[in-house]
Amino acid sequence: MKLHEKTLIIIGVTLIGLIIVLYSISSTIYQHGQVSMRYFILSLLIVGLVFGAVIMLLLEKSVLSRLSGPINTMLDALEHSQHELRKSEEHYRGLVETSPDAVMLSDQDGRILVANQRAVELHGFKDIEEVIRKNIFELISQEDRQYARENLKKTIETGWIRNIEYTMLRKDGTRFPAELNASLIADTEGRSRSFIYVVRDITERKRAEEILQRAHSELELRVCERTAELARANEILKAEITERERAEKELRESEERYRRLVDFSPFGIIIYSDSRIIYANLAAMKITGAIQAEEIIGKPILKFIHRDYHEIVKERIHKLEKGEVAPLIEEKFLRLDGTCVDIEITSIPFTYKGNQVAYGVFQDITERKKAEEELKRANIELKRADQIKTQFLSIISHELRTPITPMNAQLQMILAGYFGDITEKQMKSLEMIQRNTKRLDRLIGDVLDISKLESGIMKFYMAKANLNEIVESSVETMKIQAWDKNLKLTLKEDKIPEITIDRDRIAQVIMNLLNNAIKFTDMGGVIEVELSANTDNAIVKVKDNGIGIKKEDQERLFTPFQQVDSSYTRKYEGTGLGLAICKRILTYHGGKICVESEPGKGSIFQFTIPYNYKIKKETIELNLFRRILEKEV
Amino acid sequence: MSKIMIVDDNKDIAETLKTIMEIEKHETEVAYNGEEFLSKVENAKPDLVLLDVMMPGLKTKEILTKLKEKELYDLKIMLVTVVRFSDEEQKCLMEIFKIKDYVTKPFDMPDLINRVRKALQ
Repeated sequence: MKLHEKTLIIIGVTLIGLIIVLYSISSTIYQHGQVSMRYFILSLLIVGLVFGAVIMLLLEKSVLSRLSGPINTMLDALEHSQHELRKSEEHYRGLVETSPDAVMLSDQDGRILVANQRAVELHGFKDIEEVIRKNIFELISQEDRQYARENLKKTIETGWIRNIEYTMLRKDGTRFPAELNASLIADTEGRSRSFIYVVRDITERKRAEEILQRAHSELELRVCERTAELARANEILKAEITERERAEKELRESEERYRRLVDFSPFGIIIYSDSRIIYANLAAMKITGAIQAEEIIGKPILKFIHRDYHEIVKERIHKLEKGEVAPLIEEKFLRLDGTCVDIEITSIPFTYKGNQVAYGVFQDITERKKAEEELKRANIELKRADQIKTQFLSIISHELRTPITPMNAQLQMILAGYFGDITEKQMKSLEMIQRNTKRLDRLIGDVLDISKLESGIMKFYMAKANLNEIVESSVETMKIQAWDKNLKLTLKEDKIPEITIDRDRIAQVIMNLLNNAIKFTDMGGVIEVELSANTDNAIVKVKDNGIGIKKEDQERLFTPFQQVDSSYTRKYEGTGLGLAICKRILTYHGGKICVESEPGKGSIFQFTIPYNYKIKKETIELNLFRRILEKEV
Repeated sequence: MSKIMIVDDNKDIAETLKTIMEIEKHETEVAYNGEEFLSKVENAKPDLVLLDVMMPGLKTKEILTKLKEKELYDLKIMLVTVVRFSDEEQKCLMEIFKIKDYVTKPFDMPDLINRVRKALQ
């Protein structure tokens, strides 16, 4: 065979080989963004052709034989590059197949042409066959499809899109979150397009993201809370600080106040520790006669105590150290000039800066002692005066009544006929004498009573008594007198509870009122006595339709020695003392007496005695004689 | 008919009481002060004594005390006094000195007679 025939065969074979390679490569996936292999091979082809032609021409000349070597080398190189190409192709395929992400190629409508194994697994298909010819949009969830279409447009425009998140579908319809990257592969004229997709399952990532998000949110929340807490704590702290400052200020002011209180207190205040005075206020200095603080401060306290009281004070200091409070006692202090002053002191232990000290509060009682002495003296004198009065009255009482006793008794005997018959005239005369004797006795009684009452030495004998009986008895006694004047004497009484009274004195009051009623009511009149009680008082009323009392006279009625009108007393033989005595007796019982009266119409005298009045009770001493003798002696 | 001893420093009162008691048909004896009374009482052996208080010389208290010493258990005493006593005082007098009753001066004759009668029972 001729050389140019050899060359043609070689070129032809190479062409066929290249075409085969071309097609085989076309079915391989090109790497993203690389220059088309096809162009390279095509250019090789053209180079080959040109080269073949040149070889052929050169074969005509003898140069060709000289070029066969290089041509062989070139063909070797070509074969080598083919080999390299195939290796590279395999590498790329390996890369694609082993990619953890799904890698797919689709046509311009989205129909999937090529897919790796991962793509199959990811979307839950059985094999590549099931994936191929599916549309990429079928793998995207319904709601994201519109978004996907927009992105497709963008991919066409910009050539690629990165990291778009879709919810994608599996074969069984389940969904999963995915991230998609896409690139556009267009031919040089921009006619047919393919898209390469890389899809990653981001479920895990999403979950992790979610967890992170949640953790982040929680953290944020915590931080918020913590911040709020801190803010609150800060507020509280600020408030506390303000409060504390305020409290401190108040404390300082209070201390200041107390200090002033102590300094200027009218009481002498000293603080002493270990028997030495460590503080003395102004009053203390004044009482002890100190002008400057050094005269007192630091000095032993015993220096200021009168010798007679040294033992007592030592004892007291001892007690104070044990923590006992020393009660108020009287002592004598010594002034710096040596004079004595009576004081009253109380001492209280307390702890001051860890030490046991005591403070004494005292006051100068010189004046008070003087006053006390005087009071005692006055009291004694008063008692003596009372004694004298009582004695006097007892003697007077005895002396005045002594003559009357036989007078009365003898008259009674005569009138009773024990000394023989008496004539009518004698009887009249003796009766007159008797009446006046009795009157005299009454007068004496009244004078003695009012004297005792006025001077406060009247003794009352208080006991529970039945007022009903007393009233009844008094009325009974007066019935005769009333009858003598043809007066109607009635008693209206409620049964009243027992009451604590001096029976005889209250009887005296009732008798007095009845006497008056009878005296001042004319013949044929009416006297009504009423006894009742309410929750607080017993009430006695004596009502008459006698001559009555003028308004201006009513005021003086109960005052001793104030005659209503001397004409009254003359006519009615009163002493003017009866009602005064009644009032005083009732006052002692805590009761009251009053009168309602109209001249010509009559009078109503009413008195009340309370049930619960606390009256000084005379304590009956069993040493009775002293009392008897006090009355009599 | 009993023996009544009358003790009073006032002659008129003493005589009046004597008269009244004699009207009541009692035997009487009179003393004009405490000492006289005490010296006479044991011999006289009266059933009742009408004893005045506030006499000069021995005070009533002393008289009564000395009387108690004599232990004349049947002796009844009635005081003739100017003042009255309270119920409690009376009770005390009765318990301690066996004073049966008292009458106040000036006394009412019928009242005196009544009390004497009661006391003698």
